[in-house]
Amino acid sequence: MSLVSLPPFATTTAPVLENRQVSPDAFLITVRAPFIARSIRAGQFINARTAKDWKPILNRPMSACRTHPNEGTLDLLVKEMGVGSRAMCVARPGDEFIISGPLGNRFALPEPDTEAVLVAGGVGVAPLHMLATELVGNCPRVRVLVGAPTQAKLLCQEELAQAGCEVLPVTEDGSAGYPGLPTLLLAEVLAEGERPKMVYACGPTPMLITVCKIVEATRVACQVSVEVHMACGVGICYGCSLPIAADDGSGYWEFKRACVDGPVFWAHQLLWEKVGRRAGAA
Amino acid sequence: MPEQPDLSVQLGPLTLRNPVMVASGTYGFGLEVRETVDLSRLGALVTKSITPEPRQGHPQPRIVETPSGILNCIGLQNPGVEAFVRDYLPALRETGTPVIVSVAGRNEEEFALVTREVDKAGGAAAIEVNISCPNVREGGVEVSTRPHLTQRTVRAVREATSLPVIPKLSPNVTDLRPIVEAGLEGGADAFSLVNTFLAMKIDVEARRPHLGGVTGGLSGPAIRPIAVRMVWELARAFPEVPLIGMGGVATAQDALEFIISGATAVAVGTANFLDPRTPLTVIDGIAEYLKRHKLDSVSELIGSLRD
Repeated sequence: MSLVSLPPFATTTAPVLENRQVSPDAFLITVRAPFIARSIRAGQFINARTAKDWKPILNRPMSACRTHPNEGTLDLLVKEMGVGSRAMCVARPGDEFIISGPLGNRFALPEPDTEAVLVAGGVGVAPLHMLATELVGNCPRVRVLVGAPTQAKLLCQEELAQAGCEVLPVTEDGSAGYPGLPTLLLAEVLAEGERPKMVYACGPTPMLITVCKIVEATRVACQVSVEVHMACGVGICYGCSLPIAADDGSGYWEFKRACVDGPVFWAHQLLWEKVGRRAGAA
Repeated sequence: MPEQPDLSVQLGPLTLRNPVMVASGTYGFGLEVRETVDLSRLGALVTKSITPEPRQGHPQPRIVETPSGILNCIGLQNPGVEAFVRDYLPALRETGTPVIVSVAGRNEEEFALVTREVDKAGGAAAIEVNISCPNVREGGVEVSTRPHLTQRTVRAVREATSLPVIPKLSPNVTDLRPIVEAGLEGGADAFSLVNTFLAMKIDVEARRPHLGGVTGGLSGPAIRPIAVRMVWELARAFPEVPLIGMGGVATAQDALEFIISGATAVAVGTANFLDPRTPLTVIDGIAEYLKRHKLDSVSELIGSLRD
């Protein structure tokens, strides 16, 4: 358990500039936060709350879908899941959030001449969209498998296409794109072509577990952004610890905080069977 | 009246620059946020509890929200005393604030072992004795709920160090006075209270406990009125014994409730999760209160409740 000191992070009042509903239960909210907008990288997250009427006691961790460093703004993709997220989803321009960030680690870039395959479940597409904007142009091919229960809940399609990715939508009810789960498509995609590939995944924990099984079987490099209950987000409460294997093949493992050593981990280091009955966020 | 009121307090043998600390387990080792928070402004920094061997802690989920509070079952995740002394203590000595090391163990020998190693290494200002973590029940019971066990454990720590010894009290008792008496017999210099209340939350859809450890400790604003009452009772029963009060402190106003009830110092805990700079705003708020009430020093307020 090594000592980790976080690089400086800001806790700032962030005015809401725009709030657009993009699906039955998700909202794209633009806030002004210049320091965070300039310094955040794909994989990192922010801890956020509304400045007023905040009944829940803890901040909510979330990823930015996009940053505009020159304008000093962030686009947040917020899904209505409970008391905290609901308070944010009803925000209007002029309201204020209080956000801390950037927090956590970033996705690693792939080796040269490697194709990137991004697997997104639901609102997990947000950090992968930011990653896609970093990868396109630096990667021979970027494909994004975007999963949702139904067509209306597919997120970030146009943005990803505009960023220059190949978008493969996957819906559970078959209403758009491929029917089923993005993980079913993943194995097919990995089998295509000669170039080495690297997988990046973000979404519900059951999806991540399946992705990890697939990449283990196919021996493909893979990074996963985990979803876990968080409280402080800055490494002081030890609430978000997960069992992580050492990288040296020794079999040694220890609990590491997802907010400082993650939320991005290499797939082969996540010991899902040791995580606990209910690994995901509420 | 001087420009700046005097915020210093005398906690037994310890002189603190101000009465505001961070509660054990709520601020890691402080070093995590040292690039963002000026740790040298804290009255003291109380570390996560250290055990002889590294502990991984409980499986997920470890934290869940409750009305005006949180439940936690972290399970004393810590690097163990050897790594703590080697890797953390040198950096802690550089923070410019008194470091109170919290020690824990499954029995008196373990408490004494950790205390000895920390004492030998130097750099700690005091030892807080975590006899009240509700999430570690190898003994089947919190030590702090039993006077006899409290006395023996505090005595074991007392004999392992010359530093001030501060037992951390569990509120999961009917009457804290016998526990304090036992701690004093064991050689305690001061007491910190309260640790968390044993509690649980149930996911009714899944019909399962929300926490990976089933039960956990309740903290936050919801517990503050109980904690204040407990500090007030103990301060009346033991007027010469310095107390560190905590339980839902998020503002200067909250801190002052404890000080006026009889606490010499206070600790911010759960509120650190919302913003780790909270202790600094509490310190500033206390200074403003003193100016507004034209008081020279915060120590005038200790136990100044008018009845």
